Amino acid sequence: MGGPLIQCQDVWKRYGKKEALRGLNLTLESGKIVGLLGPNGSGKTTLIKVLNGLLCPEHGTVLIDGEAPGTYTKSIISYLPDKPYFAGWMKVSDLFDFFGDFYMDFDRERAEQMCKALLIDTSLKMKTLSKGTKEKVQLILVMSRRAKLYLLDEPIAGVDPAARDFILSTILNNYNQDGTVLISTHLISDVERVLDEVVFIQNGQVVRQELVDDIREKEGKSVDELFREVFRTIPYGGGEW
Amino acid sequence: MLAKLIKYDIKSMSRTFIPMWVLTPVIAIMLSLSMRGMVTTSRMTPAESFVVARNGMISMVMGLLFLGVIIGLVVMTIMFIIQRFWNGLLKEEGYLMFTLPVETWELITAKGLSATFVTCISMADAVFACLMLALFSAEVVLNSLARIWNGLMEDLFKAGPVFMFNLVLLIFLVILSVAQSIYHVYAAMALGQLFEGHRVLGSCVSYVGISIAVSVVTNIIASVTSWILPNSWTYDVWYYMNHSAEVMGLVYLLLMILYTVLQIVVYHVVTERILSTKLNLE
Amino acid sequence: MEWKLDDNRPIWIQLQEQLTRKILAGWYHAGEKLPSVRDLATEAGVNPNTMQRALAALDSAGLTVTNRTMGRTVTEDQIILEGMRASLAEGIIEQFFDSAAELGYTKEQAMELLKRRES
Repeated sequence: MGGPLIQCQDVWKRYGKKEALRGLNLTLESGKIVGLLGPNGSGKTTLIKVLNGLLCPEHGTVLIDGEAPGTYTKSIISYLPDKPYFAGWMKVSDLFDFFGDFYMDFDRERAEQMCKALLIDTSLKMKTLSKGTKEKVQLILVMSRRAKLYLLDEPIAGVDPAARDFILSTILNNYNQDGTVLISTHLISDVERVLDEVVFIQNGQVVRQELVDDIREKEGKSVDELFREVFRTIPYGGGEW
Repeated sequence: MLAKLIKYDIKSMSRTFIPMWVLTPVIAIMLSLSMRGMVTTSRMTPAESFVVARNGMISMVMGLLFLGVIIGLVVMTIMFIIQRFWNGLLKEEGYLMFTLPVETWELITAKGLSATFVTCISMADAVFACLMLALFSAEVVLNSLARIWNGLMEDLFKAGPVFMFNLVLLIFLVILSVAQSIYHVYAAMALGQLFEGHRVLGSCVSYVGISIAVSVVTNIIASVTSWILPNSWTYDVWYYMNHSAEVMGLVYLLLMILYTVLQIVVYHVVTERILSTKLNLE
Repeated sequence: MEWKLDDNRPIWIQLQEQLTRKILAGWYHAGEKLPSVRDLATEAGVNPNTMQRALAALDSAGLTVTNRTMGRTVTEDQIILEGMRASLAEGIIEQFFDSAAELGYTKEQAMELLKRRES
């Protein structure tokens, strides 16, 4: 497939009266690590769910590797949601079996090695693991897939700095370099060094899309600074600090 | 992929069900043995009326236990099936299931088939447990059971091929009815998803709503059928049917099977459409 | 190994500068093979494409040589290494004079400070 990996045109998604995505347009190529940046409620999670097929937009086209969300796109997308999603009764090794059964691109050896390196006993049931360990297992499973698109929804929110470093280096070490990683976050300064490109999203629309190097070279700013500029809110009552 | 889904669904259910399936007959045996103990002591008293009264009470208690066993297994099975669908597809685990490279109908069918399978086994287990209950208990119960069994065997030998076929169809119909009840629940849960913020309530309301709709439709069909059949034709059919109860049974069974399958299809389509397009996991 | 990066300037340029210093300081010897792009990127906590760009710049400057069989190695050409060392030193000296000028010293006065310090 030649063209861009992700193509969204005029995508609308409403929840009752609330409009989460309003005529969103986005094009992303392969082989990049992209940051999906925006304040809470801007539509980041909704966009990710539309891309991986968990939500059906009311209007607009969504194409992943040239196809609408369906069985093919799900087979090439590796998704990390912002909450744990595994049945507690399964053992870690059961999960490896599960992923191996349904995903052809799952690299079981890699997953086992990572668990070993972290001293995680794969014969333990998920429900007996601590919250942090559960999150690590989930990350390992997602990054062990040789996917074309990795969708990571807030992977470092609510996590201590050491774990944050671990998560980012796990992503860097394991992602398929022919594919694209889309990281949605509102913690910019922690991830900006890892990003090739950033997409700023606000009120359900893409307001800016830049290469990170362009931001630094042409505007002399960090992505964090640009973010603050773009999303600056006027305090109630008006005026400056 | 469908086979793999079924494999995982059965795997996740058997952890709870296998202990239940093993324990239920065991408990039944233990209960009946203790009943037997009571019966033996009661036989020691000489007065006949006393014994009859005691035996009557035993039968009643046995009957209650019989009921209790069935109800227990049924309730647990229903609750578990609902919970597997609700938690497995409509809660956090849904994030995992709906991002698998499988079609929505495969997810639903896997859950439906494994739930039907498990329910049928539970039903067989309940019957088995009740037999165990009877087997080890008072001779009175055992004798009446033996009599019923012999009667059945005689009838079976006298019966023709149509009767046997009807029996097979009957069993098939029972299994289909189980599937239909399960899909009824699934459709209700899917409809419940449309009530943002009140999903549980929405599901219950939908369940009742569907039940009402189905009985209304059934009544309409029954009335219409009996109304439009022309009299002479009815007479001929009635004459033929009167001469062969088995044929009447056959036709009836086939119609019921058709109707049940129709309901299953409708429920499946409703569930599949809602989960494909209106899904919104929390 | 410490990587001190400033998010306001292009990262690849900073990586190139720091790798250059590491080579000149002897972290990587002449002819030594550098770690893979991926390993370096993970170590520095940056995007592999960014690190690739920095390494390509090192290739252009002649500090490293990329060979199909041997991968990326530090050049053994002493002329290039000395040249780079000299040009970086030039920059440091410039900076010294500029900073001294900011404090109000002329060039001659700044040189006096140096002599006095080293005697």
